[in-house]
Amino acid sequence: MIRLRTLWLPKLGHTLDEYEDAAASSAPTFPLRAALADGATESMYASGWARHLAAAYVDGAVGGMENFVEHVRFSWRPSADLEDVPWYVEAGASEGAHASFLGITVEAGGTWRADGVGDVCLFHLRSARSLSIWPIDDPDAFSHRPILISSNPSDRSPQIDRLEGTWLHGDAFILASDALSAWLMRAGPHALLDVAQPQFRLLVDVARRSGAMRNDDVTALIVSIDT
Amino acid sequence: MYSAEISRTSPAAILFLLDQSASMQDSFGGAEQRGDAAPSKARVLADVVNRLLQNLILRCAKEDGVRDYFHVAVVGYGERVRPLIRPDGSSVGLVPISRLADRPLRMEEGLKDFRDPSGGTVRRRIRYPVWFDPHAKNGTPMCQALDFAAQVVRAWIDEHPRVFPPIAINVTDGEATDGDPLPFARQLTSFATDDGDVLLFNVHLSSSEDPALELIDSAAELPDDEHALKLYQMSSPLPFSMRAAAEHEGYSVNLDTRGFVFNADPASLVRFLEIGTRPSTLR
Repeated sequence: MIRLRTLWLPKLGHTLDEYEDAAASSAPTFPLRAALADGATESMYASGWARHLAAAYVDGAVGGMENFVEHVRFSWRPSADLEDVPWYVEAGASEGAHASFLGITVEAGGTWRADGVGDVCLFHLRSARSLSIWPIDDPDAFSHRPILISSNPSDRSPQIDRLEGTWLHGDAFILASDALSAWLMRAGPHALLDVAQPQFRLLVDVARRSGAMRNDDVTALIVSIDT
Repeated sequence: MYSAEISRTSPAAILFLLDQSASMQDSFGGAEQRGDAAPSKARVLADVVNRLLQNLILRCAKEDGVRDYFHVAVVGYGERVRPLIRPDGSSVGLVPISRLADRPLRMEEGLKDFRDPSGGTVRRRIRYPVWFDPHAKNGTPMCQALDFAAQVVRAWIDEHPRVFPPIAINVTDGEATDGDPLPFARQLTSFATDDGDVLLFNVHLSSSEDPALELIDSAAELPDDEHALKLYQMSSPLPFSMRAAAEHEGYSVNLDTRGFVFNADPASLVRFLEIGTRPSTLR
């Protein structure tokens, strides 16, 4: 009854190990939990931190979202042992990793809630309409410096914003990282609903070459609640 | 224009041209400390550029290595025009930033303040890299330095014809002593990639009490000073990504805003270098 699909591509010109988005989801049953995080390129461990955030949300071990940032910071263990590392790994690790983030929980009773920091966007679709596009709904409003969740316990905890709503059978939710979100706002989010990875690759390639999509890692996590 | 992506296959080139003339031994005009206690302009400039190189590296650093998003050259001009950074001994031109990261001149130890989770400050020993030391002697062969930069840039463009145009940042405390630098500046900025002309920015270090003049868009704002006018004329307008970086630092800018600071103090030098080394937002 619930279908989950992830579509993703690294930035053109980058290798797979440079891809820094992360998507995670629970099994396709209620309560359904799904999350997408976008690691900041200038951070060390950006991809690991993004994966950590997405997994922590889907795990659901956190309790309320008010503890989420503290929980992810406390449970974060970057893989390197910092004993014998180059100076820039030590310095970069001390600056911490940064990512934007969005998680959604869909309950059996017909409600859903989304929690986010930064510019990962949620599209709530019903038939041909977009009921919600959140937290940004204007493709020109994406800034070069969104608010991010950092791994450094000394940094301020960012405010996590919430949106709640109800769902009906036949609805779909798309979580998308910023460059893809901006494009979806112009091209129409329904463009992704019946697309598999090979068509996605082609679609993104055309959009990037024509300048319609900014060249960046792109990830979409699509949740469809069938009738 | 000025929109090419920065990546390992399309890196950005940044050249620093640093005045190392005798007058750089003096402290900044308007410095709070005076006499022997005040650090020289040469010392401050070396510290600022060494720290900037660290930050450029950190922007590119990942746990498995430093990604060569930038190629860098640091050229001093004073007694001689010479590269100040040669991590593998032989290279004269632009060096991939990973090589800089792996081969500083030496590591130094210092103390740095960190915030701790409770909101207080904790001071810790850190080690940090240094690539070159200050030097101040003789005159100001700026024309020769600009000519050298033009040669480096031309060779770079032959190998990278489509990338974001090279950025040259000239930091000086005085006038050229080997001729009129304007034609040499024009020669440098006459080179171009498919994405635009080479950018040349100029920062003049202050010897007076007058406040810094930062990021102006018209010669009418200049003091009545031939030298200021010359450096202004030598300076390119800021491209989009740097205008955005400048706005983030609190400046109001427009399409005519030039990459130029006159009478810079250490703080305005640092601010400008942060702006002038943002060919794109790497994010």
